[in-house]
Amino acid sequence: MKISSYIYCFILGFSLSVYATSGHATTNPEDKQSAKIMQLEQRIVELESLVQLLLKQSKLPSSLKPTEHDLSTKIASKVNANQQVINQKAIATNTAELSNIAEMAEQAEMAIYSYEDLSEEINNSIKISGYADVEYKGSGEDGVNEQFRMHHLSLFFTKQFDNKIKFFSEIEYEDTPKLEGKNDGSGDLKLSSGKIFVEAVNFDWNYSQHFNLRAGRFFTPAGIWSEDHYPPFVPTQERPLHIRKIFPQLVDGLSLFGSTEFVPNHFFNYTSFIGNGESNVSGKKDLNSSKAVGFKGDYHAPWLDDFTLGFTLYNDNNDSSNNEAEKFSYGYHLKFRHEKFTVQTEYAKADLHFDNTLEDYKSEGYYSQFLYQFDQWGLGYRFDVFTKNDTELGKIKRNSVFINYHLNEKFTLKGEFHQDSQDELMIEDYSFYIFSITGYLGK
Amino acid sequence: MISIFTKNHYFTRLFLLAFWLSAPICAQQMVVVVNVDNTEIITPTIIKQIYSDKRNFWATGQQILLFELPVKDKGREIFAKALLNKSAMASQSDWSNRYVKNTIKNKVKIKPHKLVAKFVSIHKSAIGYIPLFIAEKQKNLKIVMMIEQ
Repeated sequence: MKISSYIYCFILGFSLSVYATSGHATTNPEDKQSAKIMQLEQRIVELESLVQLLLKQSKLPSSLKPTEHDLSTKIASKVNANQQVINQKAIATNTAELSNIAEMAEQAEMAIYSYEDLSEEINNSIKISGYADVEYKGSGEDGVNEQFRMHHLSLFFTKQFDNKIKFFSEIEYEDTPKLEGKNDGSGDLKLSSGKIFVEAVNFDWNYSQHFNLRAGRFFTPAGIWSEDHYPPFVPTQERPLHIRKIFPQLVDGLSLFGSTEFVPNHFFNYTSFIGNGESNVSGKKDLNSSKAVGFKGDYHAPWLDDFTLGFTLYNDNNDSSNNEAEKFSYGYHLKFRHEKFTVQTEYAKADLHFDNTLEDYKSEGYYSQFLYQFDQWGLGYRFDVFTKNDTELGKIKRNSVFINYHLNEKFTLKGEFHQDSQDELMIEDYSFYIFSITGYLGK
Repeated sequence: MISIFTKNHYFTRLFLLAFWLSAPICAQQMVVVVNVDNTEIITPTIIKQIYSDKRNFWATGQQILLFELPVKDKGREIFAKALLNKSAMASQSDWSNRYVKNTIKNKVKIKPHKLVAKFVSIHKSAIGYIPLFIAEKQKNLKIVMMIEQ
């Protein structure tokens, strides 16, 4: 074994022994393990420098470094008789040093395996992550108070079973939920507020770049905002008006997805899915026998800094959330970035057909968002339109301006102002603002 | 006259100090490295695809193990600017966003550059970026891209 390997082994061995003697077993929580690993890694780097420094200072002749046996034979053949006496003393000293290093190397070899084992254990353990946000909201409407809102606390639990199988879940606590039972043994609730919602719980089988399966509950793969909506990573707390109103928020079912490079540097990502469909009661059963199906395609081109153009299709022959209407939705989306300037736009439309054709209607919505980012700042504007029912008046237009300040990659301060106007003359324009703090709680 | 001269001298020192403080940002030559046994043809375009999570398998079918430097490491800023045309902070936010969206494809590990060098030298499927002087010291590494600043 070469001297560089000894050094490496020694560092790992020493690090592991430090870890072992610190009293932290692998049964400790994951965050402690991660913290310890980080300390170990730092210690490895420090020790590596130290060992290199010590080796330089030991003035060990380069010919003595390989092995104890080589060391003796090489020295004997190169020095004369007088020098041999002096060198034999040096050899004795160096042999002792080498012996020590060899002993440590043996321990370190074990340490390498242990380190790899520990790393694998950490990788395969359940990981907890999340995000939280606090808002201060006010509006121009009379009688509506300005208020603080503890909007989201979302926790993600993920586990990588092996290279191919993964578990993912998200539990959202919205508006600091509180449930309190009556103290009479009846089991009835005395008080309830807020919302606890399992927004995602699914298993992935990642077979290849082209072919993957997901089973469980997941956000509907539709357009951009449906999946890409997490407060620490989007510029506004308020989502565009049509989001979740044309395509459902969630799918309970199965998804097949993947990506292919059909021309060098041109990618097509696909996601097809089948699920229970949108219903007021979900998670346990389907309210009807028909299944909803959908498909989303994204074309990623090597233009500008990022460029994505895509479409979504969705069909449910018995939409339980809309009086068993036959619902067909489709949409287009585009996102591109050139240096500090990002444009994001989505269009979506739904056709709903009822048994009584007089009840048929269409919903339509679109928005365009412009974001300019410089240093830690983001400035933007969004124009947003939504028509819930085309047979009635009620088209809402919204103009939004926003500003973001990223304290770091996990923590963002936001300010946003929205002004709504409607076609109906009787309804006055309405404006509101939100200041928020959002934080990503993961690594 | 004396007081004016002293003031000018003070400003000159301040200017030099500011220049000195800003210099290290441009001083580090970064390189992208893979394991010496990796026989793939790796172009800057492929590296960009990997680091923007568009590609997560090597042509051999092996899953890519991707290393990033910590966000505060100057090398991360240089790499992100040169390859992705965004800041280190924005690139890390992208990884976090992919993680919570559950669309992340690559296995990403954030390690200091010395450990990136070690791990890439051990794992055949790994890719990372480190300062040139570290890459030159570490055995079993192959430099596949020099990052122009």
